[in-house]
Amino acid sequence: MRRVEATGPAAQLVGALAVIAVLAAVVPQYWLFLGTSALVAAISLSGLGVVTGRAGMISLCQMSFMALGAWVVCELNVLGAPGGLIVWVLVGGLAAVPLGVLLGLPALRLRGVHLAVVTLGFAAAADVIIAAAGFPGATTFQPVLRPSLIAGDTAYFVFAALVFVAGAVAMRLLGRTRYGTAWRALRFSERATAAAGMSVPRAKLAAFALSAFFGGLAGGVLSGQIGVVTAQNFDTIDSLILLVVAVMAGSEYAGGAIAGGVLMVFVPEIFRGLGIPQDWGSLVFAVGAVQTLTTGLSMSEDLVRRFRRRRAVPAQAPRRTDEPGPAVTPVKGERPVLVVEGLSVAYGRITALAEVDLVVPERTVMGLIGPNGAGKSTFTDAVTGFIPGATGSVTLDGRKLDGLPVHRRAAAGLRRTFQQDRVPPGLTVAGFLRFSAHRRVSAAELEEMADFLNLGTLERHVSELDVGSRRLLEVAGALLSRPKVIILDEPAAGLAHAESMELAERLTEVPGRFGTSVLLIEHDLEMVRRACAEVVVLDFGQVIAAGPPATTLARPEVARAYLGDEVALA
Amino acid sequence: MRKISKGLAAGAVALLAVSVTACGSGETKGSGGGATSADPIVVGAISSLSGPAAFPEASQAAKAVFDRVNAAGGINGRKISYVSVDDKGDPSTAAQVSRDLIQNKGAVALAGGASLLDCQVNGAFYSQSGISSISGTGIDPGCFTSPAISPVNTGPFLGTTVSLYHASEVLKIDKLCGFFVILGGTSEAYKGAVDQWSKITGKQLLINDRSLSGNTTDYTPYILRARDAGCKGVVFNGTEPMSVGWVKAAQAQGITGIKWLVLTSTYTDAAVKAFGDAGKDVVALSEFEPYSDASSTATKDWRELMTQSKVPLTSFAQGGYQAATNLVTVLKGIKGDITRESVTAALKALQPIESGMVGTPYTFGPEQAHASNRAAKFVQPDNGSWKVMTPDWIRLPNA
Amino acid sequence: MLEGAIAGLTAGGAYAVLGLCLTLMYRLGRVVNLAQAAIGVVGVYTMSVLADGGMPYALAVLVGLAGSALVAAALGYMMGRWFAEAGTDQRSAIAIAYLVGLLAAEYLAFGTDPRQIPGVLSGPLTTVGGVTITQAAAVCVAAAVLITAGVSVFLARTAVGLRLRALSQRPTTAELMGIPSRRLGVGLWAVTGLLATAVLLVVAPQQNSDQLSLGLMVIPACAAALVGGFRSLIGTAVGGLALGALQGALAHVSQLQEFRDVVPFVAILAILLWSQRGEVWDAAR
Repeated sequence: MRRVEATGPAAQLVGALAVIAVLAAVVPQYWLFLGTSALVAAISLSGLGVVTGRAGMISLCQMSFMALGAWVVCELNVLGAPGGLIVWVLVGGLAAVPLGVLLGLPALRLRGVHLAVVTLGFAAAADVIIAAAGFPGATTFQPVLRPSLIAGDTAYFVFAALVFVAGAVAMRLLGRTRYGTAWRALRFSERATAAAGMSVPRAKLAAFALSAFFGGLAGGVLSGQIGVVTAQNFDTIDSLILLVVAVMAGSEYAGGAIAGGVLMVFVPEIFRGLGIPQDWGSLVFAVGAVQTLTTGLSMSEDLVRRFRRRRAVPAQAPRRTDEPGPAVTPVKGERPVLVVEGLSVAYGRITALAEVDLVVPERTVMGLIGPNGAGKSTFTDAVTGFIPGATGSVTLDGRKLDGLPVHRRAAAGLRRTFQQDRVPPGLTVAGFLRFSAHRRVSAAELEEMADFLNLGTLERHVSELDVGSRRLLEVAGALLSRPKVIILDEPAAGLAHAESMELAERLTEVPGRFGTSVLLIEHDLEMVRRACAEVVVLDFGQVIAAGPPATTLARPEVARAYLGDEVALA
Repeated sequence: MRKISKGLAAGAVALLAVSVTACGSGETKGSGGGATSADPIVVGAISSLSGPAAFPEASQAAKAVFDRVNAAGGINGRKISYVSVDDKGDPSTAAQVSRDLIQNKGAVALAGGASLLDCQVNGAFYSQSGISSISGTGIDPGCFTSPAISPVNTGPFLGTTVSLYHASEVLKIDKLCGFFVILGGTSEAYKGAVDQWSKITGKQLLINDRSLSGNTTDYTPYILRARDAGCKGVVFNGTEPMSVGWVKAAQAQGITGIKWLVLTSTYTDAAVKAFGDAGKDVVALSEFEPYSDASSTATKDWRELMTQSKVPLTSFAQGGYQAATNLVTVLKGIKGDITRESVTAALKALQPIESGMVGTPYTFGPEQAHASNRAAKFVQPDNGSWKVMTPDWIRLPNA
Repeated sequence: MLEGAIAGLTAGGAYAVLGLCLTLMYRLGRVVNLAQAAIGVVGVYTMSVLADGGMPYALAVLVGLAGSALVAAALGYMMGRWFAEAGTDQRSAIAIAYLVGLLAAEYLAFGTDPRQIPGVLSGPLTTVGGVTITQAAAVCVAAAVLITAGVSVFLARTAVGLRLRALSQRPTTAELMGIPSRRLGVGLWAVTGLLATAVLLVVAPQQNSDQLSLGLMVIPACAAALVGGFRSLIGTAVGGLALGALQGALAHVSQLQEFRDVVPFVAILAILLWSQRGEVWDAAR
């Protein structure tokens, strides 16, 4: 850890600036010109890294954003707008943002290959438009003027490098915000991202907007570099090559972006110098990308992995199982906090939930049980806002939640966990907890939570955890947000029996410790008996029984629902 | 991740260092500064040798001319080192290689290149660097609007104007249409070319469609539109394969009786062969004395040199030959050291050079823009080869 | 307008056939193969080089078809060997790398000059009410219809078709049942590569036939496949033909000028957004 601090962000920044100064001082002009080209590609690549590298959406139109940025700079140049190139580049970047948002809109409904195809179609359409419209000043022979400060190729290299460094710093700061984590979470599961209180549309649009901004910046820097840009600078195929390089180099990291830019410019240059056709360059990138995808690790990620291995993370210690303490008798609160009335969900003619009424009192652990297919998960989805077609009303602590989207309900204090593993593997334990907490939490608080639910070291990566631990982590994250009600969908799946029992003990402490009511969906009736003050039994989408566990579970209709008619009658 | 950025940055720097040394051009040569009479005279050329459209013959022809000069002892004992580079039809590459030529290789002048966009991208940089370019085949509009560049050829824009002028005034075709493939920002230049024709003749195009792009793959709908509008002659500015596609698509539709007026890039042996029977309605423009006319005395020397150097006989090869020959004339006339400055000064003071290859004499001079070749001849397919239609030059009147 | 639309059917037929290849690859091979047309270019250019060298046209065509089928099979083998368990997104990213690599390889192998592609279908077939139907258009449309019908029957009625469907839905289970998944996958790549080459051989002689233009014909083909939702063969065929006809018809709308090529993209986006409007979340639950 010490060594990491020694090369902390500030030191890196100083180092980067020193590298730029040295390069500018010793490298001949021609190579600096190439270096500028590499930086342009790197700026664009870091934008692509947000959408493709972090958020996992394939975007094939980065060149279109660059074209817009370049177009704006050319136009401002022709108009003789005030501020000079440095301001124009910034304006070019900002001008690309609306285009990015526009393109992000389809991404709210289209995913994976559909989105890839749409972005590719967009790139082709943009190609047509820029080829037709041309760049301002190109035909009237007005090259983009550089201010005297950065007129020379050396000074311009420094300018481009500073733009890249500023972008990288901004990117790192952004990566630490909720958005940064949300993009990584989004890649793994949109539902979980929303359930953690983050608006999925906003996160996606922000990713595209940022990507477009960097694309626009790159286009602006490019137009200043070569003075006259034409449509050939921004061919569709270049967007594809950019993606291939982004995948290969791992452009979500600043180092990956710069490495990608350097590769894109200097590999063909070396081939040129050696008299080998430059088309070999593209072939090298293609093979590199295929190789990268074979291992599943980009150049940057590969290095990250190696580095992490060298750091020798302690192997996951077996989860500790405390001796069960004196049994706490679950208590039921009085004031209702979650009130569900007449909740119904129908898929076509099949009724999944019929007029379900349910009240969760404050500071209470309540069980929701029922056989498979009884509608428990549908109930959870409907209450938390995942099913827009649900009718009925949901009130949380006196506030009507009807019509609110998932993330707003989550933010209002109604959290849930998922039956399937929905913890993004790309995050650290602490990173996930901070994201899921949806509020500023101190390190002490994190440690306390880790201790409470037995999570182990906070620095570990989620990918290193077993399934059971991930489930607990999800619960911990939701609890950290101090919700009014948390709905746990089979949290003990993947835990050993003893661990389930301990989790039950812990759950009984939750209302007292966090002021949160728990609605526990569970198959393990022993766990339910231990943890819950009250149970509700659901069958065929209807509430068939409710009351204290001991008496409710003994009722014949509950047994019949669970075991089938024959057993109950026998 | 912190480490990684470091590691990769280090790798990038290493790669940069490797490529600087690998290409061995780290040292920069000044323009003439310290150059001795033993050093070769470096002449550069930027051409589109690969990419969306490739024109290799111009620089090959120029090289043949310089090789011959070298074989005969060079310019005052100094050999010419001709460096021809590829811009791939990509502006960034064009900007990069121009710096390589001027800053690293120390070129004193550029001659004989044929590029899709060199002039447009580098025109300002040439002026700044004080270097002059005799473009072998000027294609983009920048070639005809820069103080540092004077092409030897007519170019597609003036070519369009001459083609229309020939069609309307010589062939007396009354209903003319134009379909233009727009590569780069050439739309305005073609519009200007058509306007120029209108200004000279007072006539208008029936259809003036500048909406085709390099991505337009099927021309049939446009051809049908031309037929339905009643066009009797259509100017099409596509490159050789595009024109062949166009004429073939018209043949597939069974359309006859419309003259297809194509530019120099289609005036090739491959095109006339590909046209086959469909070629009878094609009229092509020749920017120089038509190369296919083996009996012409004006092209005799060119023909021999090209055949000897195994350069394909095309209009582009004429451009490269013409540009190189003109530069050699200029270099021979320079008294004193041959440097970038002295070459440019000589070109600015150049007297018009007459030649049987072109209809109007070549000029450079101090003007802000150059388009000295304002004439053309016209050819048409005849039994699998091109036949000259106009023994005399069609010269564009000034308007 | 009508004439333009009919004239656009040549390209439309090509989009449809390429789109059918894409749909088949997506359904059965879990990949959006953006390299589909680029694979076809291998065959077309091989044919052109051989024909230029004096080989009889028919023989050159056969060698070209075989060549691209071989390349396709090799790419399919790599996909099956290294990315059998990967998801559609990742496999499609591989296909993008294939496209970039193939285009570069084609430039290296065949040179960057656009070649003239010889062809036999060069004349008009018939004229109906003043509208000329070219031979190429007739062949392309017929191919689109026949392939749609043929593949539908093949998938529904034959044992191999059944296996292919099983393979796409449950690859691991299919393997356990003794279905040779890798070999079927390679075969699928080879067959689609063959079809793509065949249709490009028909359309390439009459159009701008440089490698990039032909290789990027996959974009409208993708649009066609999207109309069929990458599932319906009929939808894809109709989408491709309609797209070609629309482009052809729009060539007559002079007001749109150079922006007419954007119209199909907008149309596709609208169709897509409408059909996917309910897909608010990534996973079913």
